[in-house]
Amino acid sequence: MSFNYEQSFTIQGGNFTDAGVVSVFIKRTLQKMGIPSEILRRVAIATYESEINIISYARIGIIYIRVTPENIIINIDDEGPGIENIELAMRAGYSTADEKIREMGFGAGMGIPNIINCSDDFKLTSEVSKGTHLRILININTN
Amino acid sequence: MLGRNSISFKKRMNFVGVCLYNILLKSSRDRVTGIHFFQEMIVTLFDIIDILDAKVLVGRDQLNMEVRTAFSADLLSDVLAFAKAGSLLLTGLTNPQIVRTSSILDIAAIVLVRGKVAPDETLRLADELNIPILSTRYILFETSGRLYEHGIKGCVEKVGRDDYVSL
Repeated sequence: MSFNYEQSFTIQGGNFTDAGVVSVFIKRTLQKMGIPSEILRRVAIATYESEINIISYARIGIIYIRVTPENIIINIDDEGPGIENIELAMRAGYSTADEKIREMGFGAGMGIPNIINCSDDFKLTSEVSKGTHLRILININTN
Repeated sequence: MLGRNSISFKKRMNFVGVCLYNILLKSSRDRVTGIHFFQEMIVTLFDIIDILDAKVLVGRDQLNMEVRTAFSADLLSDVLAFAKAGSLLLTGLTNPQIVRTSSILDIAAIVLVRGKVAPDETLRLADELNIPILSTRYILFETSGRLYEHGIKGCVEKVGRDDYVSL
């Protein structure tokens, strides 16, 4: 099996009604390519959590996904307030979500921990009042 | 005489059978074997409508779908972190995100509890993404309990590490 695919998606901050559209699209596209379901699930959860994060906190963000025969790389770049304390943000249960986010059912502080659980390699860098960069790597094990 | 003997033989075999049955049932309950040899309960959405006195909001054509596990939550963050593919999602949330979250996780069907009726945009999305939605007037606790009584189990029992100590 060989997979080759790359695409970028722009996501508007604050657009709560469309939260998840991009992730559902990515999942369907990868499903059609024949990516194994367990891998597919991890990619879908990671992109969905990232998409929710952009919509909840940033002004605008880009999700870039590249699929190769060996792995899937997801880069998420956003322009926004950034994360003041990365260590805290990575802790399960810590959240700075406002009422609007919580009303939708999110903001329990599980987002970043959940992304980490889904990735084989994970890198989070952020600059306060500029933006956040996330790099997620998921290996495709075709054995 | 022969008749009587054969009856007692039958009874004896029956007894042995019941013993074996109990041992196997117990071992399957203890998850030693991990396989339920007997009483494999098959619960479909049709059964769930009966059990929960539920209404079908979306997916009338998918009611013969079988379900074995479920996850209950009103927090999508937790659904995303813990729910497993093929499970039922029991929730009191009604926004379109419950459908997108379910699609991401391959959730089999959604059961809205406490008599919630989803807005049109949620129903349209569920129809588009092929995810059945039922609605029951039972509260979340009753809904979960009634389904458990009929053999549906949690998609996970516990989360977190074994050495977790609650204060």
